[in-house]
Amino acid sequence: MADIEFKFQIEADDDGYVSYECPFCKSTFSLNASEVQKDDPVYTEMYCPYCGLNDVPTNFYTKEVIEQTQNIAMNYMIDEINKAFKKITKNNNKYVKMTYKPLKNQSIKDLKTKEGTEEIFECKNCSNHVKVDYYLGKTKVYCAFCGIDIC
Amino acid sequence: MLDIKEYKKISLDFRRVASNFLRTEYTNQDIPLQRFYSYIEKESTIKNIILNKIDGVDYDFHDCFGKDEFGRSYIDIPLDEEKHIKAMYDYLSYIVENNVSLYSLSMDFPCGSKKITDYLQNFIDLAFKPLIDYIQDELSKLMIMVEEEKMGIDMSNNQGVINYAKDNSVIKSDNVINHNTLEEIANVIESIKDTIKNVDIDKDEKDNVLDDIELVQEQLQCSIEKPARLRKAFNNIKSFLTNSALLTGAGITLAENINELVTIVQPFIDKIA
Repeated sequence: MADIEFKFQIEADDDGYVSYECPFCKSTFSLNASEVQKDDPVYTEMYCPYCGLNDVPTNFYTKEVIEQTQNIAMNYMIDEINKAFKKITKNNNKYVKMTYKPLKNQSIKDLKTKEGTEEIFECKNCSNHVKVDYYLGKTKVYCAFCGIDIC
Repeated sequence: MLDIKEYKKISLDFRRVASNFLRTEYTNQDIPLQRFYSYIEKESTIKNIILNKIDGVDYDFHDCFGKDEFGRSYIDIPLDEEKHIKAMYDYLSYIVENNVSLYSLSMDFPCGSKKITDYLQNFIDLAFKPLIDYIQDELSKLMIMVEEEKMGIDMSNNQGVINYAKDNSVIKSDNVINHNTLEEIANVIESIKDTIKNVDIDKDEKDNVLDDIELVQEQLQCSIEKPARLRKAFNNIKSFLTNSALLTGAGITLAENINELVTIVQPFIDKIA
């Protein structure tokens, strides 16, 4: 079966940053959307600015984003099932009659990045930016792109 | 003590092997474990971090990682951090040196998923994540110490002399921050706090500038422990001076007070630039 691609949008905050969540320490931070979406270089891994551990970027999606992708996939499945049953009911005749109640789609909310009290730090190594909580970053802040410590 | 670049490299390498270990998958289960253990054993800085913590600690890891009467595994974390670190390190050594299967160990721990990879990652997270966190924290502390030494700032703020040196330059003693200067700063800040109440500015903006002013005061009191943050707060305060609310009424007095603060603090910012 062919892969099916779904697209969705996340609204950035006023500074153009979108939220991510570390799969290891569960801390949240924000990255500049244009820097994340760069074609050159393409980032195949991401570092948590707080704990410095790394993983593939998709594992840094927030719970809201994962929930959204699941809902979109679920809606696609529901639409396909509804379509299939609708097709079957068209074949009703005087001997066999089928009815069906269409399944309802999950609600899809707009994904918005909340404004917070985070500070923007620039990495001297790769010039990318991370937006992290000033007080949580008591020890070190690591660059989410290259992993070098920023401050 | 190593150079800051060396510590940065060790930190990056350690975080890489630790991340790979925490992300162990069914298909490669023993390799990240072996690499993680091997890196800890070979890298003397990390090995020393662990050994310094557990030196003289007498604790059997079986007391931390045990099995109950029904053969189910459990982790009973000891209250003392030293014992916990020793238990994790000894357990790790035991698994690697005896070629114990990570898979069979992980399947003995309850996990909310049915995937083997999730079982493995759940076990590694429960059993060894605190060891990784401890090593990473200690590396960060070492890096902070080295950075501060490199910066070469020794501000004896209540003794009257600031010695400042950067990049092996000669230490100068021509900067004085004494009780009077700190008092002067405190007085100006009090005036700013009084005046700002009467200026028509958004509450968030007021809070932000007051936070920055307090941060500047704190940093000067504690010999500029965080030069980057002092500089950032100082720049924010200077930016605030462009606010149009400072052109009329009580705003003019506030601008004068902030300008006075900027004039006093500027020499210290120049020194850390």
